[in-house]
Amino acid sequence: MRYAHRAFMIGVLACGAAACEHPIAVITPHIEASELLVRDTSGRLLAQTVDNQRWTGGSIEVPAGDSLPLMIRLLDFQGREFSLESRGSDYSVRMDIEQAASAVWEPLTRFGWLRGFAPATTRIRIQIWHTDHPDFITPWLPLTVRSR
Amino acid sequence: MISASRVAVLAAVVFLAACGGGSDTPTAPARPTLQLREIVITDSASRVLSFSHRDHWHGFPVVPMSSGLNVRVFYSTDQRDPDDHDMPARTSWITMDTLSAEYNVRTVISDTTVARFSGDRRGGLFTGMRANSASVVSFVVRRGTATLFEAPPLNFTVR
Repeated sequence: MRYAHRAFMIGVLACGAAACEHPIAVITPHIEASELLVRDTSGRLLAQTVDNQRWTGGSIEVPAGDSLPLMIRLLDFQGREFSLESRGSDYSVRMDIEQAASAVWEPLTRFGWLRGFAPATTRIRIQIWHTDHPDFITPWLPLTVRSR
Repeated sequence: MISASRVAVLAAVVFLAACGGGSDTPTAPARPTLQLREIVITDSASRVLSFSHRDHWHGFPVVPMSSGLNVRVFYSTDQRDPDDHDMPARTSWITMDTLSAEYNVRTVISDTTVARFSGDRRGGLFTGMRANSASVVSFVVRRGTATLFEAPPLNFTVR
């Protein structure tokens, strides 16, 4: 009985400390992915990470002035492919482009446009963003923006 | 053994301290800060060219080499969810000319050999300097000298 009271008091103190300053929020889990896949909108695999240390499948190419629709998919730790949409609305796909003026990534709900702007040989890195932090960051993948 | 009444008193004290506590030092009332979330760029005919969405943009301006591109800049106080890529509702748009003069906008083009921008806090003119080229432009909203909001860099092309 004494221990039950002590436990209750500790609980009360913890709740009191947490009250007001740290309101309870609903937190969605991290994405828990092992690999990332880049597909075109027909489902063809363009590139895939290997142990998220390197890429297989080569580079991505897009003509300057043109746009390439890409689907970003993931593998879980059992090797099952899944989409971000299946995990809720707190995730988004971001893309770092080394030469920022050469191309831009415009994400939409099930796919995104990789738009070529100026001829360049550069690199991209994909991030799976979870509210305010990245859950998954790929290695750099070569990107070629070709002249038309 | 601790009695139930002592536990109840302790609980009340803890909650009052957590919720009602705070410094007794009087603080000056803070000036309300405008919470800008997104930017919308339109042409002079009010057609939407681009709008920001958190870390990225939807759409991009194309600057004709011959005539340049006149744009108006709107701001939105709303922000959509990460997976909702619709444009900010027009009812949330505001323009800088509805705000006091302490609010200003710095528009910076990364490569001014591609294009230049001249204008004020309501918008301005992109002038192409080099055909078939591309650069990025950033919009920084300031209140006095303090940065209030910075949109992600916006890619554009000159044709």
